[in-house]
Amino acid sequence: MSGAARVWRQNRAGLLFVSPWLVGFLLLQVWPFLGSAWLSLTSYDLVSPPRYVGMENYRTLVADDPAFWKSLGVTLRYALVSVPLSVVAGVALALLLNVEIRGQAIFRTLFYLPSVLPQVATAVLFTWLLNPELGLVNGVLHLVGVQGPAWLQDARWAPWTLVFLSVWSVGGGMVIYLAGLKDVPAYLYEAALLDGASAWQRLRAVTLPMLTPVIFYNVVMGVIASFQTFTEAYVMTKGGPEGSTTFYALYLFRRAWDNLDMGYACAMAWVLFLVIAAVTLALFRGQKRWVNYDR
Amino acid sequence: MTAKTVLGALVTVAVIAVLAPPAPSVQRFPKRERVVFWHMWGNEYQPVVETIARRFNASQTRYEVVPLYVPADGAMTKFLLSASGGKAPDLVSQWNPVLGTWSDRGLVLPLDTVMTPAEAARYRREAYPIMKDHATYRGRLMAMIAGVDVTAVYYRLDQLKEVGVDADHLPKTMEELMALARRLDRRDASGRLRRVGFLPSSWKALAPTFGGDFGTSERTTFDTPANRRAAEFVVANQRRLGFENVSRFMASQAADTGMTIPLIAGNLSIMLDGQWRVKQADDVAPNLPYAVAPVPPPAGGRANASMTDPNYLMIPRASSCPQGAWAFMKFWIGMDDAEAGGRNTSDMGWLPYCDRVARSKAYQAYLRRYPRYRTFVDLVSSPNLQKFPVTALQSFVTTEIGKAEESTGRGTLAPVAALQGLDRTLADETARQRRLGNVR
Repeated sequence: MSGAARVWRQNRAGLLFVSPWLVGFLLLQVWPFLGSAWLSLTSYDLVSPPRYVGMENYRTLVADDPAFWKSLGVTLRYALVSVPLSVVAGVALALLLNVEIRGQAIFRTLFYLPSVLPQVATAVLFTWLLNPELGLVNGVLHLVGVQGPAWLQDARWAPWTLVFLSVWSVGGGMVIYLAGLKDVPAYLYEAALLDGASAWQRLRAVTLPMLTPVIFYNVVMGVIASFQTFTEAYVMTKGGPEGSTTFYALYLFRRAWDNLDMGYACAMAWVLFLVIAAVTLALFRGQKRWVNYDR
Repeated sequence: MTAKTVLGALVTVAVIAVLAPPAPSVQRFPKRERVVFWHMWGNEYQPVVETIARRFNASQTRYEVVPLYVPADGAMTKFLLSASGGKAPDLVSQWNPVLGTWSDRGLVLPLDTVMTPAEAARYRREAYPIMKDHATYRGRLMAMIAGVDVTAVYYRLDQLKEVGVDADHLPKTMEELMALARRLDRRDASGRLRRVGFLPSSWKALAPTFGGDFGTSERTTFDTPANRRAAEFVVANQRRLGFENVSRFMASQAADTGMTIPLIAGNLSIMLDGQWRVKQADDVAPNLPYAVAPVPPPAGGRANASMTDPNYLMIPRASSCPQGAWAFMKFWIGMDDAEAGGRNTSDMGWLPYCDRVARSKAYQAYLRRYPRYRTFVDLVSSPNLQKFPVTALQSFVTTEIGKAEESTGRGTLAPVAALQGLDRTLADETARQRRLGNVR
């Protein structure tokens, strides 16, 4: 019996069990993935057959499209601020909710709740909450004598408002941090206590280092998600004011569906893929310096 | 099979039955040729569209129009996907500026392929010029215009009375209008705008009144002296009120239906608005004291001028029943039956496509019921109505204009710089699309 036949015989039951997923993966992910690579080299309007244009889409993107660079800048700025902020907020919340207190389960549920709400519903809700004249947020600020900003109407504020909103759904990350905290061996705390470590020292020397694999995971996922930010900007600001929230994914969507520039949009999608891959690779390279896998 | 399995299957079926979406519109006359019509008119307009379809179905025995409401947000995407898949509806409506793009991409059928020569000649002879303009792309009729949106000025008479002005003494010039508007502004103790006399935000909409235009389909131009005057007028008013104040005030005027329409709510004493507002306002607030008049021109401007926007009816190239779609389009606008057209058009609160329909009994009854609407009927035949040039880059241009108006409205870009910037952006995009072979 040849090697391949033996491997097949040994694994066929497993392969047959996973075959529905494999077929779906090949047809719905690998095929479109390769298809988009081809389309990125064409001029394609969805109706006429794609026409090969070589690297023209990529050349235009890099050399001739200021909106591309602007949207990339908006997205990078968002990622740079929202990801660390979400990590800090998530870890802080997890630490607080890890404390054994009465009603702990209720607090955990409450903080997790926003992350299971539909994004569009949340975005519409916040559009009204943040209305500069009628919104609850500025209403409360007004009570304490502060004139709240035009959160979503002012180009200086709108990007940061969306960053703030990203923290609203930090519950998903928080649950993972909580699971990570439960995984920290108790003997490490006991040893630290015996050594006379204060609460702050235990946090710095035990909790955080032991949590770094989970933090790393959330950073990677957060970076990928933030590069794909779309819904909030599409629903709340339509990319405005003055393009200040035109994220990369939103610009790509407009190129594809408003301008029927599918080839160009595919090229944009590939550039985004490469950027995300490069950043993720850099994160993986850098993790050796700060992620602790010792147990 | 165990009882558990049977129970599980039954529960699954029950869950699917409960969660399954309702069936789409059902064909009532299975023997007729089906005409699937995707339209974007929801809320109060959806039942009106369905009634028009029912009337059409009752008027003949060959076709059956099956209307399907497709929410505006996803309508373009849905149509494009259906067209690329080769299974498009038979008729679509659109109010987004898509005629150029869709025509250039071969997505819609030129109407001369379904019209008889006599029909084409009659349409060209009797349709108002602005209707023909909107329906035509590169010399060919590509759409019928179910309704064209024309802008006029709405005045809240009770607020005008506060400053001693009545309906018989409405402003005759833009300068008079602005002088009146300034007296109508109201602020609260902290200086925030509570009511604004007049607050146009789009200089594109006002350009025709200032004598401006945006060129032709062959060459779109933004930076002209008249367009500059329009932009500077709009921005000067925003500057006077304070850019940030205006931005905040506008954000609080988000609602566009019911009692919260700024005209009814009383937040704007004088406002630019379209013809549909008359029926809406009269139905929602029958005792509202208001008047409607054409936009008064500034010195050197044009009277009875307005930028106009169309509501297209188009036959997709992949339509499986183009003749049925054409029959319904004719019925809608009243080409063969002016009374039917008058009833359909007035039920939608829209303008007729020609004088013959305007004179129909149904339409005249509508004008008697909504007398203020007559201003728009008078305007629709004005030679000073304009359409924005239809090009293959229409969607792109519309987005860019929106961004430029936003920037000037916030004071971050001077009007002249905005207009020049638009010319540059359009030239760059055109060059790029030419390089890709996408535009002629």
